[in-house]
Amino acid sequence: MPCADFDWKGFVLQEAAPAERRAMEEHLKTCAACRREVDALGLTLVAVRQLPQQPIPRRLAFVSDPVFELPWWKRLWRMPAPAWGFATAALLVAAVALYGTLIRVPPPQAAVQADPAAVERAVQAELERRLPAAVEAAVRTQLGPAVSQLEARLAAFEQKAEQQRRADLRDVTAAFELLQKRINNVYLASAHYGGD
Amino acid sequence: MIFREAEDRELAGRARKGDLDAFNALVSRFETRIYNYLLRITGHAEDALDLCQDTFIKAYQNLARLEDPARFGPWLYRIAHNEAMSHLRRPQRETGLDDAAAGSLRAASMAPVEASLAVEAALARLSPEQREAVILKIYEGFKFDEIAAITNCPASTIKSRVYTGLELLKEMLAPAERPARPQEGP
Repeated sequence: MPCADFDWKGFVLQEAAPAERRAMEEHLKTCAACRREVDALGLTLVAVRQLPQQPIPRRLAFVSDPVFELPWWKRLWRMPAPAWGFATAALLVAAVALYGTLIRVPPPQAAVQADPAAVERAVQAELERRLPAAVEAAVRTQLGPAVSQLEARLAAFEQKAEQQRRADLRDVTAAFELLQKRINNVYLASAHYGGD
Repeated sequence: MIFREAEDRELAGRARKGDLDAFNALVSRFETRIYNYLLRITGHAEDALDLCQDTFIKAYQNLARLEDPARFGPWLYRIAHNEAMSHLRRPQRETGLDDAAAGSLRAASMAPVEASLAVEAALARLSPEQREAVILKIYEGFKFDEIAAITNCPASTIKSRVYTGLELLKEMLAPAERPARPQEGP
C-alpha cells in the first residue's frame, strides 16, 4: 500500500507544487510501495496517451465554402450605413477625377515658354471654373433619383391639395345656394302673412 | 506548445475581426482534436463528425462573444462539450452506450495494437463524466480549472472524476502493462 500522506495522482499529473514535488521525489527514493504506485500510474498515463488519434473521416466544411455563402443581394443588404456613405463618396471622387482626367485644358504654348506661375494660375482658374460643374454633375447623378422621387411626391401632393380645394369650393357654393333658398322662402312667407 | 498557443491567439484575434482565412486555419488546427474528443464521448464516428461540424459553425457564429482570444481552445471545447451533452440527452439508438462506444472505438481504430484495444475498452467502462474528465486531462492536457470551465462543473468535482477514472484505468490496465512474470522451473 502506498503512503497515504502523498497525492501520487497529482504527482504524475504534474499538479503538485514544486516544494511538494521535491518532498515526494525524496520520499520515493526510500519507499518501494510508493514507487510501485507511481510506476503503475505512470504506465496508465502512457497507455492512455498512446491511444492513436483517429483521422477525421472527411474534411469539415469551412464557413467560407459556397454552401455557407450568402447571395449577393443579402451581402449588399447587410452592408453597414458607413459603407454606403463611403461608397457614395468614393463614387463622387472617382467622377471628379475622371472628369478632370478626360477633359484636360490644353496648356497655352506661349505661356509655357513665358511664365510657369502664369500657367499654374491659368490651370487653377480653369479648374475652379470647371470643378463646380463637375461636382454638381456628380451630385446630380447621385441625388437625381431621390430628387425625382421627391418631385413626383410633391406633384402628387399638390394635385391632391388642388382636388381638395375644388371639393371644398363646391361644398361652400352648395351651402351658399341652400342658404339663399332658405332666405327666399322666409321672404316669401313673410310677404304672404303681411298681405293677409 | 507555447508557439502554437500564440498562433492560436493571433488567429482567433483575426477571426474575431472577420478574417475568414484565419478562422479556416483554426478549423484545420483543431478539427482532428475536437473530432477525437467528440468520438470518445459519443462513441459514434458519424455523430462525432456531425457534432464537430456543428461545433465549428456555432463557434463562428459566436466569435464576438469570445472575450479573450488566448482562451480560444478551452472556449471551443466548451462548445463541443455542450453539443455533445445536447446530443447525449436526445433519445439514443437501440444499442447501449457502452457497447456502441467500445465497438465503434475498436472499429474506428486503424492500429491493431492490443494495448490500444485494452485502453479503449477500459475507457468505455468509465462513466461518461469520468471518461470526459480523463480525456480532457490526460489526453488533451487541460488544467483542472480549464476543464471545470469547459464542463461547467466545480474544479473539485473534476479532480474527483479524474482521480477516480485514473484509479479505475490503473486497475484495468496496469497488470497488462507489467512485464510477464518469469516462468518457474519444473
